[in-house]
Amino acid sequence: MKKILFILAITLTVAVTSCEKGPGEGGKSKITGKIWVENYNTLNHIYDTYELKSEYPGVDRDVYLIFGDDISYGMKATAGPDGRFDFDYLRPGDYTLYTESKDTNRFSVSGITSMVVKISLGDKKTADAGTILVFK
Amino acid sequence: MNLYKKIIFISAVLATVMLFSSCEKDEGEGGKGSIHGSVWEKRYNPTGTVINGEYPATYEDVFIVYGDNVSYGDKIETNHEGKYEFKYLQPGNYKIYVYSGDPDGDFEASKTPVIKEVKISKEESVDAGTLTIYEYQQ
Repeated sequence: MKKILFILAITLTVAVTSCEKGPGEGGKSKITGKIWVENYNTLNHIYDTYELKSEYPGVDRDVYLIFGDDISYGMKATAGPDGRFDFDYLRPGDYTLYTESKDTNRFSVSGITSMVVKISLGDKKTADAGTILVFK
Repeated sequence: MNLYKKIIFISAVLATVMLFSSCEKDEGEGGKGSIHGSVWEKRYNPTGTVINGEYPATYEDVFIVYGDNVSYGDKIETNHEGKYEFKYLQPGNYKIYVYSGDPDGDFEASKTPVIKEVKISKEESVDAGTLTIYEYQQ
């Protein structure tokens, strides 16, 4: 009898641990958010003065989602006509979301930077990444 | 050997051959190997004489060719840190490439592929190193 219980316990442990799944697709959680674009005119390069020319929803902007500690993104979404985006059917865990922006601070030589948001997602939850401001 | 034994023997040989040949897997998706690396960009002035800066190449397309295939099997953009990874690969030979401006400074030349050949021996994560690309400001 003890042997049977021991074997059952081991089998159960293996079954449970093999079913543990990290962040990624296949869950019931969701991440939503919105992209907002601010378009600046450069008034003076030397004194770094800018003038806000226009602002609008980030229509058609690509948003990338990295699962946990992965290197490359696992999902990519395109913001809709109101600048909103969502990633559906996610498992609980940690995610990194990023999108491309012009580097108005001119810290990067390429003139391009990324707006990065870290998100920790629970089970059957919707996490709002908020409004991500990008520059054009 | 009577007929019955012969049939059994031939069937067993055929089954063994079919089993092994069907288990041979070509390069591509469906395995447990992976290839990761990064892309580095060197940006020159419009005439290609002065380097204006160098940095991780973000949002750059990286392509992977499976074995001896002609066309790429998959592509992915580098992340916000200029890094990339192709996961779930079978053991075998792969080519990773990105497009670059001409490395010899011919800024009017068309895009040139920068290629890295990578071999996955078994279920392992292989570092393809850094691919350097050249861009010329317009």
